[in-house]
Amino acid sequence: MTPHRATLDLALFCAGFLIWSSAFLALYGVQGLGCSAGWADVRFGSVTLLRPLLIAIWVAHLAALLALAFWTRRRMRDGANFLRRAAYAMSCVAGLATIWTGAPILGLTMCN
Amino acid sequence: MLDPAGPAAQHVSSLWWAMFFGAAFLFALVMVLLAIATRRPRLLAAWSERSWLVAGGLVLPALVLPPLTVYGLVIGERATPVASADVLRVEAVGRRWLWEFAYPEQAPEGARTRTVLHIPAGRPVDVHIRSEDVIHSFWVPRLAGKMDAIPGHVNVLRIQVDQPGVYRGVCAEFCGLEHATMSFIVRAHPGGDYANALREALEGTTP
Ligand SMILES: [Cu+2]
Repeated sequence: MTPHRATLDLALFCAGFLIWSSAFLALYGVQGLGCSAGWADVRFGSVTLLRPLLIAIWVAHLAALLALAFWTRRRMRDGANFLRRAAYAMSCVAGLATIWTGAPILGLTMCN
Repeated sequence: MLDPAGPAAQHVSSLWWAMFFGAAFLFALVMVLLAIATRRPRLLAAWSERSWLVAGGLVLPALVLPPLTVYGLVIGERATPVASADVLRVEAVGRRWLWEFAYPEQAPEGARTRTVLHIPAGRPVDVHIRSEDVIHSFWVPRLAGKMDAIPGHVNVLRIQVDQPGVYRGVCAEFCGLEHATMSFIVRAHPGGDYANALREALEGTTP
């Protein structure tokens, strides 16, 4: 294995939870910002602006994690070693963690 | 906190008891396993090290933590003040080192009671909490959880008292020298007496 490819594997190993933390930070920040800026009061019929915005952020991060999981799985199949297996496992776990920490935006009261 | 006097505190208390018994059960389980490990180590060897790690490190938390999270979210959601015609609005202002209470729906601007919050029993009350200097925290253990009083920001806490009476409250966020004396009282009046009682309490305080 060349040094360059090991570096990529290491980056992929970290990528999953970096995306998770980006999702957490974005949801946290936009929720607070949206509430104080009154985005929860902007209505399109029965839907307010804030919830779809948060869901879009969440889904975008989940899509990125899904793509990462496929990518790391392919690299693992091309030539498995510890780092590649761990990178694949980490992207799957990061995906589950993002689903779990983000899911409350689907139902809970937004502001107040 | 262990003697709840309203619906919000009731939920907090039920969660507390559920966690207490859960923790007591798990503690007993660990102690029994520890005793077996020292006296009859062979019994535990029936399971491989790996199975113990998976059972205790993954399966057990997966059974305990997600239900607790969901339960906590449901309780939090129920304590969230939702608009309702029946709600009375009062204001609590924290300042070093005392609490003042205003009644925008009942009394003119500037009429405040010091260290005593008057509310009607049996009716939901939204306490709009703010601070004039540093961060304080409004806490009446028998009625609800804590809510911070933050300068430049209004937090709303929904409380409800089932029975008329006196309920003690404290500042629950360290705010300086006299923090420990920054206590107050919530006086819940029978619904019909509330207007009179409040007028009496405010007498002489109107500027
Ligand atoms: Cu204080």
